[in-house]
Amino acid sequence: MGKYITLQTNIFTIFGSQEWNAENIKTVPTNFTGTDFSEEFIRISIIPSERGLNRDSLSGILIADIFTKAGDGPTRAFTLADKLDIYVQNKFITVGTGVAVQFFSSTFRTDTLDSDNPSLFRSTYTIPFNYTEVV
Amino acid sequence: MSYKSLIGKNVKLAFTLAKDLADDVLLTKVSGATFDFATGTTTETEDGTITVKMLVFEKESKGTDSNTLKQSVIFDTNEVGDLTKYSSVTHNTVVWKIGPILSTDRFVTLAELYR
Repeated sequence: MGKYITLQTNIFTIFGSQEWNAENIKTVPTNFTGTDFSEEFIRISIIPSERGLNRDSLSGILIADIFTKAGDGPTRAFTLADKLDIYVQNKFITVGTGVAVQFFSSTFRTDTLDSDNPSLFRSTYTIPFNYTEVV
Repeated sequence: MSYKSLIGKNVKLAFTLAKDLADDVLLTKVSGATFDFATGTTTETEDGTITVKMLVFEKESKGTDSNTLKQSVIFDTNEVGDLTKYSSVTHNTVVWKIGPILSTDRFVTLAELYR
């Protein structure tokens, strides 16, 4: 497998895990339309935008767009950001031999009502990572 | 007869009176989709294929760097029901994907198809 799909596979193990599913937070990846997004959900985007230590390594950011009920204040969004921290902040993930994803410290900001669905309030959680593969 | 029923019948009549201006197309309806993070794949819930009437009122080529074609079409809402972006239309053996649903009410659905 190539580095991009391996990176995705590693990160997706977090959101496919039993522990994350038990949190009961609707989570979808980027480029997934689905059919029902009227309630709160998180959309995950993996952006491997920089080079890593070697030709098979990468660095980048994971962005989680957090959508919560509009008009309910910011608390739920902050709660979901804390939940994400439990699973990714400073975590070291390795799936398979010779590959690893290291997450660092997260940042979070509240935005505004979602332009596609104003019944949802949009916030953004961002965390940088390094993906390293032994050459 | 109720207004809803009266208007619905007239929409159906309009499509019939359009004769061969309204094409018979195959609509493959997909009502839902789920994403599995363990496999990284999407599973669509297909509801089957039905034949419906479709009126094409605009067809254009999109952009100068792509071969994308767009059709703006009208359906009888009663025939097609709820459309999702996962649904598709086979028109003259060519498959078109549903793009933005421009507007839909209880009687007429305006949509864009892309290929």
